[in-house]
Amino acid sequence: MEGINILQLNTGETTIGAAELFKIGGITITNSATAGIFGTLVIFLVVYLLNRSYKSEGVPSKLQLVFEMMITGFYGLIKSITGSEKIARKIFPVIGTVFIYIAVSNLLINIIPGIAAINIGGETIEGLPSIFKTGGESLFRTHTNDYSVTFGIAAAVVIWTHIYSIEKNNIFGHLNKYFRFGALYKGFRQGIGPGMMSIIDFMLGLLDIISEFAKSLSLSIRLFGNMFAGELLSALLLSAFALVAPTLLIFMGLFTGVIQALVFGALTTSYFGIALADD
Amino acid sequence: MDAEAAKFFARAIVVLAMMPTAVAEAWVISSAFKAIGRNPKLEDSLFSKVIILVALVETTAIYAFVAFFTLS
Repeated sequence: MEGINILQLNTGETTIGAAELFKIGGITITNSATAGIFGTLVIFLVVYLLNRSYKSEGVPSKLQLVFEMMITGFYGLIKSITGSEKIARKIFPVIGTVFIYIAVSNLLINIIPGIAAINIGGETIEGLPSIFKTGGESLFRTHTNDYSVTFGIAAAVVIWTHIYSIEKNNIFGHLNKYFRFGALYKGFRQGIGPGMMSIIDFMLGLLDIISEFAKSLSLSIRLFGNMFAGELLSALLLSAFALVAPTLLIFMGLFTGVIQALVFGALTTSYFGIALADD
Repeated sequence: MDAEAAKFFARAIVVLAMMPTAVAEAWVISSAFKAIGRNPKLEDSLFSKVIILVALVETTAIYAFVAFFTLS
């Protein structure tokens, strides 16, 4: 067997889509799905530990303090974006959950060392445990580095804003945001000038329908693109110079992972804020 | 022009999208520094907003990056 070249490592091709690992009764399990399940288990574990040592009185544990600090900070951010205590209280559970899920999925592969080297298929490396292999498919791929995942989350969040909007304004009030027949009627009753202006308003309402689709597209492509770019850059750097340079990129990856989760949270907050705003 | 050459031209054009993004990011940051210079109290509240905005502006370059590699 030839020795491993420690200066230049070939991490294999970085593909746009996730690789299929196996099938369970017709459902394809990809390597990004396994990472998602693993991430969910990690979240469950942390929540379980947190819940076991939870104290509402007396001296709280260190873990509880850290999480309380994070939650208060995030709540403050949501409150400053929506500008209303009532809306912030209503949407905080949704956005907090999405934020934690995306942040954990972004960071998991970067934080746990060696996890990306666990492969299915391929050849074992001499001197390493037999789960680490070269070639074959990686068992875990960054969960958000899969377009179907990010698009799923983004579409779900945008649909959720519509549900909240219907709940607040009822179905006709909600449809009136896009098909502004009410404004058209009011405008033409005032005269021909305001009537023409109301036609423009009506067209703008129709344009908002397109922007609803653009919202979920731009949210999902932003998150996917950042994660994909990070992975691709680390593969490029590893194949060029594998000793020191990728370390910096991993720190960069931690940073962008948190920032992108934060951007996703902030944008969805503003979408919810628009949907729930008083007229 | 054959298909391979057209692909190279397409990638070259896509990369152009990164140029205005750099300018825009610099613009955001310089505006933030100007605001802090005028009113130093703003520094704490501006920091997180500027980071989010820079990440938003960067999106265009990321789109170009993804398009660049999907064109191969």
